[in-house]
Amino acid sequence: MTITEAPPETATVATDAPDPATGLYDLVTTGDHKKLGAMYIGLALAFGAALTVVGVVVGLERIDLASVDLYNAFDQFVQAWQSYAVGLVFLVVVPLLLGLATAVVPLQVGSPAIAFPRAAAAAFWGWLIGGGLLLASFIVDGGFGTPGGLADPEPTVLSIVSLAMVVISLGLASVCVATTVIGLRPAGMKLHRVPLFSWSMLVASVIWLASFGVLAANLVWLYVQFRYQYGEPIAGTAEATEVQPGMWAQIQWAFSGPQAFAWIIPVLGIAGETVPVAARLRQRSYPVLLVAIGAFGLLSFSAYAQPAFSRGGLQVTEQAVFVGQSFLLILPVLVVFGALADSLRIGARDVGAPRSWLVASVLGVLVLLVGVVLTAVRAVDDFALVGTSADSGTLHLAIGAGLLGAAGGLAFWTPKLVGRQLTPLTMVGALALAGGALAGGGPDFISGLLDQPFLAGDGYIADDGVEALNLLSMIGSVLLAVGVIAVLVDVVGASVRGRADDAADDPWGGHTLEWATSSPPPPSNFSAPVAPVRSECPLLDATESEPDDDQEES
Amino acid sequence: MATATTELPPAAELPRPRTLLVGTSLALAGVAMYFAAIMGIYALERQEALRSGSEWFSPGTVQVAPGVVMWFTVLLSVVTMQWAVYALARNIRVQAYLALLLTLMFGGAVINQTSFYLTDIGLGIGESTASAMLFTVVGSFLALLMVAMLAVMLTSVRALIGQYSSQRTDGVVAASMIWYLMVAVYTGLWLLIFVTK
Repeated sequence: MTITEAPPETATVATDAPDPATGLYDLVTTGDHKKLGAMYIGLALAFGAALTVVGVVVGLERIDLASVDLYNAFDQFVQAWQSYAVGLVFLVVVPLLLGLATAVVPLQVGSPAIAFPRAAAAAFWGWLIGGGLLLASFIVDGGFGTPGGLADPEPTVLSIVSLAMVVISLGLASVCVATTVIGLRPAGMKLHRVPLFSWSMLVASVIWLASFGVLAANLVWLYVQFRYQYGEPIAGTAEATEVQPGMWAQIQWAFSGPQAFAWIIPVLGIAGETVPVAARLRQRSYPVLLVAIGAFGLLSFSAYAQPAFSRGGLQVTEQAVFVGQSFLLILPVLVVFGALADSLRIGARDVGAPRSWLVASVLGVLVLLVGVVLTAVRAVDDFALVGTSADSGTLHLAIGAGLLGAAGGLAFWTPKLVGRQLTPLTMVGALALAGGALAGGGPDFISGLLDQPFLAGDGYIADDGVEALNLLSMIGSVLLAVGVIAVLVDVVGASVRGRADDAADDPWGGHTLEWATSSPPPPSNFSAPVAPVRSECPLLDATESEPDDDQEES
Repeated sequence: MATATTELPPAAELPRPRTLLVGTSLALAGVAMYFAAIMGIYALERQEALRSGSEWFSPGTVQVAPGVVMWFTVLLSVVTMQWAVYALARNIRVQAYLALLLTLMFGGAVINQTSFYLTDIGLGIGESTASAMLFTVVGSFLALLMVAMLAVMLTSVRALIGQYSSQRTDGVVAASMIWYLMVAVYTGLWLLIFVTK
């Protein structure tokens, strides 16, 4: 197999390279993308474990809608829900996928490092500090405005500023990942030959950057309003300016509708990587998949869906663009799903026992498909689902699909990154995540059809069956928490135990460049320069050309 | 006496110049979205205020003249910034330093004019939605201008110590991209605030 061209002197230099420094100092100052990726993944899963438990408590409160039992006031319940939604998106799902990309993308494109390693490190620390402050702000009564306006003003300002810090940091990390894909590819790896995960990260990074820009603008405007106008008299009246109740509406677009699925674009790329490897074949219609993932990214961008655009008697969610976008979003997912199902059908005999990475990534696409279908239904005006619990249902499905995709990616690439395979615990976690996403999102969507408001409680009289659906949704939250904790335990366990004695460099028969280096990879990723790439599956090219080489030699 | 010709060794491979430019372009795309969004919010808030029958700014608060002066200042800085790129690409270093210095001077002038203007109109940030929006948009622009000036300063220092030359201009080109975006943003801001009022 000829994947790397190894002049002897180059190989010697790489082998003799001194061991990198270890310890806290190295951790804080490192620009090594593999360590940064590992830190993102570990901390995002830890945040995930904490926040999914918050989700369980929120779910428990919703079982009895007649009164507020577990919180002091309805506003506190709203704050808890906001911490759950904001945290799961920006402290768990997006950083988990970005962490995976930070660790894997440079290896996939044959680069010795990530682009702008110091910026990548700054992004990580900015995200961590911002994320810590965001959670702290919720603990001390912050948040993004509550219906009763009871949230404490200063922690609310801290919530706004810390979320802005998180968003800017994630944007910076996206720049590093996207630049790596565009600028650090080896010879021959044209954009149409980029591995699907790297491609999906490029698409995601561009869409995220655009979305983060809009979200940052919203946050700055909220900050100015809240800091300088809140409580001030409205010109010409004796009334005080009320900003709090409208705050969440200003940023809600990021957590509902097609935009909720923009945060999980890489799920399609992860499945696109794992399925052909499991089926032991080249993915057919590769360019179609590239286009489908790109289209999914474009169609999921709906940062314009803000209340300010709802003027003239027509809500933005009732406008043709939004409705059309919600429906069209199904198409690319169907294309990817169909292409991957085709691969699994053709390679069915070679798939063998289901691997956790295959199960998790395929379930991720399935949950995503359910999510986008329900998002299209939500957009139908006749159902009047916008503003009901159907919003939290689709968000639940998006988060579940994101976590499943990330779990699949972790199970697939952990042997490469730490030299040890994950245990069946990740399979259990993946099944729990899938169950949690469907049990959490489905009932919320149905109760939305039964007119349960987005955040119901505090004396709300529910229709028959809504509280039972809420109980089911709470069980979904429990399963989600179990899934995240199972994956966290397995990943941390594998990292702590380190490289297995029998670790193989390519345990799955991978197709892309990351499998051509050792497990875990050396500090500069490849011990020799990467040979020119001739297709989207450089390792398959090498394997297929070997018999010919042997024949020529004989 | 025979003349010996010496063949020079091939030039060393340059570090990938595209990386910095690609990264800068991506980051600027995010920044552009930020300004598109904040200006969109400004326009919608203004439209809503006018539709409800109230005035946006009191007559005479926003005048065209200061905005035009600032706009011409930033337009001039485009010329000097491009001059710096041109001169450095041709290794005319003295001209490059002069152009970078002039660009910074124009940037400083815009900060000075803006702060004078904001003081002169005498609006408090929390006084009305219009003034809050004005300070938000102009403040965001000033932040971008300062980042652009920082990039130009960094470029100047790196050019002075010889890191940038005709062989390697990616840093100064990246700084110029940030500068041009800043000018484009100001042009939008000028139209939005000073022309439409």
